Amino acid sequence: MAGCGPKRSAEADYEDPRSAIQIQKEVAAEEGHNQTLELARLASMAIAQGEEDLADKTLRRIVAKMQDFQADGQFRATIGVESAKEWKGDPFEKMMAFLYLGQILYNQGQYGNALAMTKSCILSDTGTSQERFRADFIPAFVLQALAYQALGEERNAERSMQQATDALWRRAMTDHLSELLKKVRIEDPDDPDAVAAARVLLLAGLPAGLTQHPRDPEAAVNAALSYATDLRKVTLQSKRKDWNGAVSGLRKGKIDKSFDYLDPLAKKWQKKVAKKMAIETIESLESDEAFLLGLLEDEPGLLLWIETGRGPMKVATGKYSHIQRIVPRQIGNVPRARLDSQTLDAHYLDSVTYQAQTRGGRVVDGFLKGKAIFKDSSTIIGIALLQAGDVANAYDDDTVATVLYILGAVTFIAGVAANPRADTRNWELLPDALWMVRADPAPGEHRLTVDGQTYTVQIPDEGTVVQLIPALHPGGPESFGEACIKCEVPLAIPLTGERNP
Amino acid sequence: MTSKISIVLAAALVLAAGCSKKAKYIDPDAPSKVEGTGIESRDIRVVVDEMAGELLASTPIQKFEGTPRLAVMDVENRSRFLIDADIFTTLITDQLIQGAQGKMAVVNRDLIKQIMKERDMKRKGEVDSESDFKALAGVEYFLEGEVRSLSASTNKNQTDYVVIRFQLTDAESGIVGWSNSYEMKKQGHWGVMYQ
Repeated sequence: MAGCGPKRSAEADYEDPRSAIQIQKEVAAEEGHNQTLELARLASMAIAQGEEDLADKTLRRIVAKMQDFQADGQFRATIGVESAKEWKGDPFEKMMAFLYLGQILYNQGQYGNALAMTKSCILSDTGTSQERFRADFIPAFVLQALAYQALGEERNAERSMQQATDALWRRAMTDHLSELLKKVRIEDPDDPDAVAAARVLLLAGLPAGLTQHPRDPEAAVNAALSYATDLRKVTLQSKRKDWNGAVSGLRKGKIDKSFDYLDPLAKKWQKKVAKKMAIETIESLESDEAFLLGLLEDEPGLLLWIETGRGPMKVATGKYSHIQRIVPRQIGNVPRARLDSQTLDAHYLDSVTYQAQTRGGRVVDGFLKGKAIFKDSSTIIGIALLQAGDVANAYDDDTVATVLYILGAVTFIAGVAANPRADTRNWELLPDALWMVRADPAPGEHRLTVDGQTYTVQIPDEGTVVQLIPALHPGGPESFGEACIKCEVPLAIPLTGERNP
Repeated sequence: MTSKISIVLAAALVLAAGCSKKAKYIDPDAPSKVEGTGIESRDIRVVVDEMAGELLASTPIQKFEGTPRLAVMDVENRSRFLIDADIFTTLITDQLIQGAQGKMAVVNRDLIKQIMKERDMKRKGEVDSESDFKALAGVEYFLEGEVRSLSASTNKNQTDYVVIRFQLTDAESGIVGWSNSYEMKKQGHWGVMYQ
């Protein structure tokens, strides 16, 4: 079988004068369980080189594979090394594939399909959690709003942009309120484990509370308490295999006793909420919110998606290297953007690293064979049982399911012990931070610089030029935009500099 | 010895099979090996068959005095799936033309610029013409289509409810004289290793 693929060797590659992208094309053409990952790397390279057609075709293949329920190597991965399974990407990698393709389709004027990609992107985000938390990947909502606006659906555009700004607030409030809950103390409790369980339940309820009240911390805490109370009740009434992932590591008895502490904890939490967020944080949020809403009210002449930094890395940790942990690599700085002589403000949208490390605003400590391990709740056994429960759930018969559930747990634990290494295959060419910049230049040719990289931008008589400036070298096409037809007199400062190598 | 030869031959056959052609013709109505919850070729074929058949049998078309003319508009995608909307319009146009057998005409609005240019050249005598000059065909009806979806997902499963809807609008009054929807719901289950 090996003889069927392209003939390559390290020596041949070394002597091959073709560009890296040509070599990657060949690598990505080889069938196998890593093909989609290699295609993803190729797509990143194509975007960086400004080869939009190649990026488009490649991303279409990636997206199809990511949405395909058929997968090779699952049995091998269950009993053996996890990386034996076909790579389909973790949720954050899927989200980026959908976002990239959506951005390309938007630029091609395929607004319906661009919209479709934002919907799939948002579903990948929400679909990562057993809870019905709202998605918080802001760039997807922004692109969705732009696509709706291009389709003439103003109300839908406004609603999507509102979801983007809600997510901005929700993210900041999640950090703020989680920190405050950590500081809440119950003096000399009879059962500290039950207090811990109550804390986990409240944290589990926080994203739901903030979904209802993204800008009102007091109301969000009340809603979190209500959700936590319901979650406790549902958990006590259901089988462990059906438990919400957030409480999977807790003991049933402690969940039961947590009732005594939920209310006192929430009351003390509520008192701490009186302490407001830092004024600069609020000002920054308000500025970003105004910026996003302004994109619909007053269409910009130039709109840039700018990436900075390097995306997260997956590493194998734990006693048997059996837990996949996502670690930051290179945090993206604020991009320095100038159009002609004017400095442009960059507005922070999101972080791929943050998205990779969280589920609905809750911090994930690691992943065990695909299962999220939340920082404050789970144990290995809890995850193993969850995994086994999934095997069992494939069967409708309760007795069969129960037997399989027990057997599955044993098999799974044995599998982890025998072939422990977690899957650390990574779409490492992703960026960390995603920013947005607008400018309203006169029609004509302009000179744009972003973090030292120079571009020629053509602003047409009307409409918006939208462009992605990737973090990956060489940073996209050297020139973009649409020629101005009515420009009789040059309005822009002529190009004087050379594009950086 | 014989068994060793057999094993070697079997292995060679397996290898040869691996190198054999990787593309083959398959029935467009057959289930796909790529298992998504989106729209597949067989869905498109069923939709087009149903819609074209029902449209031709609909009251506005049947009761029309003369030959109604219809423009097929682009299908709007509001689902979460990538869709080549032209597939719908092309296939439904084919089915309508073939099924109508001259009792209904489909007006091509995609070539309007080329048609106007050709007409202009004919009238200026820049090119000759075998036919009489006539006005561009107006339409009695617009046929519009849209695809919408409602999706839900958990770690384990994903469901997609897709509605593909067509409607016939009177180009004079704006009244919708006929509409029909095709609905489908698919559920996919992620393997244990992908949850």
